[in-house]
Amino acid sequence: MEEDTPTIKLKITVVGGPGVGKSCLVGAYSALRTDRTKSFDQISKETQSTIGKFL
Amino acid sequence: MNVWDTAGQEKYQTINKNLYLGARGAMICFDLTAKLEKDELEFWRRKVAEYAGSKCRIMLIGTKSDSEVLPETRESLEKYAKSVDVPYFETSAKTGINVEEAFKTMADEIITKDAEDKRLKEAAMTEAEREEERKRIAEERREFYDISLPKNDKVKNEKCV
Repeated sequence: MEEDTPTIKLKITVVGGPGVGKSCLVGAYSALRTDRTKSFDQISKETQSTIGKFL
Repeated sequence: MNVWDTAGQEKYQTINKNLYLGARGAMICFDLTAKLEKDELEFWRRKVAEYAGSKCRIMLIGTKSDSEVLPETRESLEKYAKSVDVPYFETSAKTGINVEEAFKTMADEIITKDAEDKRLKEAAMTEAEREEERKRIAEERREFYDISLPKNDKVKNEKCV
């Protein structure tokens, strides 16, 4: 019988002043996990001024 | 792992307050190529503690490490991270350096520190239980001596006569 792997839900918030690169960091992390072919230019274009985004 | 990206501009800070709620970890980002404002580091740390609570784990991130880094900014970040005992990473979204590592370390930090808190709490509870046991034994002894001694003066007086 297979045992359930225990999982923990973690909420991590990325904070900092404007223009420090928070969205690019999150975008890069998302790309590294899901689509490694995505270029930095693409990530940079997608990450405009953020109001609050959930990944 | 749920990652919430917040707005940096001051005008969105009311919205940001909600994004801090329930956060187990906060990655505070600073631009390594820019000069730090006075008390900027402490400002963000206090903000996280105020909105997310003191149990929220903090990590400092120096961004844009692929560009020309200001040595004084790097030094300040390293020093501050050491002084408040939080992890510090220099990342580059452009090259991908340390990006995954930073998020992984943040998650590990939360899990490890939570386990440590739990262990300490249990140790404290054991001490409380020990105290409870000491009280119980003392109470039992008191009852034993109460039985051994004469219960009232009347009996004592009668014997004396």
